[in-house]
Amino acid sequence: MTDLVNEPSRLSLALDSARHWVKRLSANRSFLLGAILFGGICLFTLAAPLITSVDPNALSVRNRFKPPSELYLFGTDNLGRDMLSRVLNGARLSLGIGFAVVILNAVFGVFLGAIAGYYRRLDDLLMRIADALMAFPAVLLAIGIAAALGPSAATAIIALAVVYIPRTARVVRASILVARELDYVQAARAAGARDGRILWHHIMPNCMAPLIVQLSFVFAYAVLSEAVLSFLGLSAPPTVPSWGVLIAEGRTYLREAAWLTVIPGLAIAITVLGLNLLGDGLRDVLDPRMKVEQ
Amino acid sequence: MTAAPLLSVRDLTVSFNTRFTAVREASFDVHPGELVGVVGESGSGKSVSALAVMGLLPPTAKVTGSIHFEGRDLLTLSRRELRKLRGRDIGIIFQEPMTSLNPVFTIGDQITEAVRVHDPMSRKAAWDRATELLEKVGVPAPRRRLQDYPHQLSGGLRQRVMIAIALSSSPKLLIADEPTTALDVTIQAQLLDLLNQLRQDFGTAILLITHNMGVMAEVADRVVVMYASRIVEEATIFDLFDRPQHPYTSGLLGSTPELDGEAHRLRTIAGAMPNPAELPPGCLFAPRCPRAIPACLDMQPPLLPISPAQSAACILAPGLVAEGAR
Repeated sequence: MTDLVNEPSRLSLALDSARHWVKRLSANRSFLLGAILFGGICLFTLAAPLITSVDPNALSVRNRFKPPSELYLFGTDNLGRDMLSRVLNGARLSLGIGFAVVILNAVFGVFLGAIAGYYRRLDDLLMRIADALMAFPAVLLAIGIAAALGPSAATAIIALAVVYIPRTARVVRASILVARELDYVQAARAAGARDGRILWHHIMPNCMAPLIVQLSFVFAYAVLSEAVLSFLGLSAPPTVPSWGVLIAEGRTYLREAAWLTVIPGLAIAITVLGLNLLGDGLRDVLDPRMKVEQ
Repeated sequence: MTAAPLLSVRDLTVSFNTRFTAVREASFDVHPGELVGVVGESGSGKSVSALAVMGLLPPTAKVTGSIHFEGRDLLTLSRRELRKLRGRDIGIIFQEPMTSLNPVFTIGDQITEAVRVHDPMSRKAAWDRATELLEKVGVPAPRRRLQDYPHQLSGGLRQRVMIAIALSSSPKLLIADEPTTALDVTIQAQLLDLLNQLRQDFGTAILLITHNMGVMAEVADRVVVMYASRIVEEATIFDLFDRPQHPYTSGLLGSTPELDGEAHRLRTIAGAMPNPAELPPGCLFAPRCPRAIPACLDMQPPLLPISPAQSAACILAPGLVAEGAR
């Protein structure tokens, strides 16, 4: 009986709330545009094998520097490699690294933020370390770490994670500091609830909105910084063409074959713009108090 | 009153930042099944004492003295042991029913959570227990209410839900920190009846914190009066109302409206409570006391028994006079 009464209502409640959020998010222009731009890039990236089967590293010296045409949609580079294939394959690496950085940020940012904000034991130590890390310009620090560890995709992920985790941890810590003083959190403690349960059940839901927004920005910054690292040769090796590598290779021929730099540049710009708009929209919808007066 | 007290607080002193002392040398007992009231103005240390008993004070608070619950000193227990005790043996009802429930979970989720914290059982069994608890605290149609979110309930219902949560594991001691302040008068009366009922049915001892003398008269067995961090008088409810010994208690009683008897302007206690950071010398109440004599400024009188069931901290209280005049 109990199940009959409760379970369907829970499901329909969840559906109701999902519908509610879809409605509010789709009413936000910034979110919508960002979602279309970023969603489009993701779609093309995932569908890359369907769009082109050309090996991104296949040379064709006779077809060097072909401008964009019907045959070569994005043109060819100095070695006659198909730019469409290279840009689409590069997207996988660029977005993949960005995504890995976001996951690491979510896990460690929440973990460290929770230790500092909830337990307060290591608060001073952790936050001073965060301050120290944040005092460096993000890209400079990432370059330093990547250079010290030696160039590879994993290095880029670690370097970018180290750079952005303190920022995420701060955001999480700040919302936990607010949430832990709420009356119902005190009440849960008075009822004898375990710390883990209080954190996960009563405090974390209050931190989700700022965390999601923060992660969408981290994604954008990670893609951008990865391009910088790979441009400088501190990310994956040139055989794997990430967007930064493509720009670095193309810049020598900027005058003669601008498409070599412009197209991957546009890809980066659209991704980062899309993510930023997405994050802005999310912030406006999830946290109306933060909305800037117009 | 012959049995060992359930809760025995001795010389409890709580201070923050060394300069600010919220509670000074408070000692009181709560016996099984007894309802002890703590009255005092805002900032007199009532709630801080309650939080100290629950072990819920922030880590910056310095707590000395002892708080014995069933013979164990709560101040020496580990975090873990204290957590097990909270909710299971000692329950608390907070002042604000509006904000003490998590807005994103249903009533049912929150009661079953409390039930399962101390008594692991299946979801379904916990759900049944929650229904039972809501019924016990007088919530109509409890099964339906379990699916409601806190914002769908009135203040009175939410406070009942809070009581149901506090009762989920049949605590031996229930601390009620101004449970009725946020509610209107008819609901207040219902809740007080409910507390009394629970005490009779389950033998739960209750520590009721309030600044409402009328509420006290309704339900309390014994009353502890606090003023500016100190206990100034402790007596059974009848002694307190008939023969208040401390001028502050008299003042509090004089400022309570009465239904019978002639209407008169309520008497007030002149002045305001001293700033806790710069307390006056001698008796803390002396600057506002209508009966103050020069000797009052010399020392803080200790809380001394006047009769077996009444103590007061005033050098003018009978029985203390001799000692004070010596």
